[in-house]
Amino acid sequence: MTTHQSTDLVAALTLLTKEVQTLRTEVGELRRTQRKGAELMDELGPIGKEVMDGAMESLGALEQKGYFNFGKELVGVLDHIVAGYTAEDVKDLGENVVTILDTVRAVTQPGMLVFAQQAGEAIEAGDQQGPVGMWDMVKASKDQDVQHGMAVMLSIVRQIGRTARGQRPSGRAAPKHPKYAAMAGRLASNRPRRAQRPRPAQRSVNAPKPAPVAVNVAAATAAPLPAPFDALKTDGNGHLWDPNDWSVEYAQAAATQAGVGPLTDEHFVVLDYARTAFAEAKKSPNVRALANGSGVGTKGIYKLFPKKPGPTIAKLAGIPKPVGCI
Amino acid sequence: MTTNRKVAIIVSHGGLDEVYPALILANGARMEGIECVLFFTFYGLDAVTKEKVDSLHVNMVGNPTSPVPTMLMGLPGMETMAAKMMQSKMTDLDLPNVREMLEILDEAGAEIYGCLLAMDMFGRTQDDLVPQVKDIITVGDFYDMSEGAQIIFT
Repeated sequence: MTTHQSTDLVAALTLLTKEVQTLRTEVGELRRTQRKGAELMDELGPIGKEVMDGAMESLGALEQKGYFNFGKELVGVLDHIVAGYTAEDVKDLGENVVTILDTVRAVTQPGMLVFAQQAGEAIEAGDQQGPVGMWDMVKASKDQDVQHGMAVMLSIVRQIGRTARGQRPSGRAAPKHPKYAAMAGRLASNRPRRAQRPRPAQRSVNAPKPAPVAVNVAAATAAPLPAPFDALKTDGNGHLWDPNDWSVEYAQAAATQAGVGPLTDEHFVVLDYARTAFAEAKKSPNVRALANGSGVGTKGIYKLFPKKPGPTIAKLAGIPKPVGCI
Repeated sequence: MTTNRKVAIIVSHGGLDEVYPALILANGARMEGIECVLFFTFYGLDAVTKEKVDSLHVNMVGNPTSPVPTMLMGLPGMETMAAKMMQSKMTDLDLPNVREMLEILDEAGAEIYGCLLAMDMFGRTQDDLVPQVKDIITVGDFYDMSEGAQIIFT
């Protein structure tokens, strides 16, 4: 038992010695390192002092400029922020940081800054102006600048309202209320039906076309006169180009073609007056002038020349078509 | 030239500027050989009433094309003055006055009718109307007469 114990002890001692040797080696190593470190410090010392002095000087300068006071205050601000916001708020902040940055970027655009500056100036200048009543506001609303301003304000208010209703600024979100949602659904289902409705153009394909209204002013003058009068030069309406080409025979031929029938002396009273009046005024007389001037009267004119008295008389008299409404 | 065109013109206003276009349209129709029926109703009846035909006015109040402001045109005598001015302008253009126009139309073969309902309303008889008015008719009669016609409402 004793032998066994002593053997154990020897083994333990041997182990201990080994450990101590290892320790010594390590301690020596450590001391070497330390000595090297001390040497390094000795060498670095002056350099470090220089660096430290420089740093202290810089810090002193910063201190003089108020950086540290600023920093102290900043810490206070941070304290307030941390105290005032919960963890949830910070989480929200993380989610919305891009939006916030976008906003900040938009706000700091040069145009925006100029605008803010001008607004500030306007507010400052506003202090010097007296109070304004309702009527002055109405009057001011006529000013173009004020109108532009109101338009901008309205669009801002609209945007705020939209946001308040929970819609994205850049488009209409689906309505949240079930009633509106149902309505929107109905509207959406109506849309294609509306598109399928036949268009008027398609409908009219099979529909009978309305009969064309016969408005052929030149119909009476279209057919050529019998020879030799067909050779005479005429204007666009079939009236003689040159009144000197006129003859009684021409008038008779034209009357037959116009459906007036054989011309009587009464007809020629009117035709002679028309030719005289044209020669004098270089203008074809209208029906009223013919009726009064020839002495036949309106009734007589319509009796002698029932269809289109004005143009018919002018044609038969070899003068241009009369112009005018009476 | 055998188109049997026909127009039926309803005259429902009595202003000078409202009656003239109808009369000129009717006369133009006759000059073009178009059959024409004129139907005078409501204030249009003034244009065929003996006592009123020569004193038709021009309504310039509320007329946006009036050169004079509406407020001024409402003053007494302004309407008469405007009518006088327009009438003199028409005389310069050798336009017959309304009475003459009616005579011309009648002679030219246009048929002129008065509206029975309007006559009763204004308490007029055919003796109060110019002799060119052929008859006093109802709206049904008017439609019978204007069969196949183009109806123009003024």
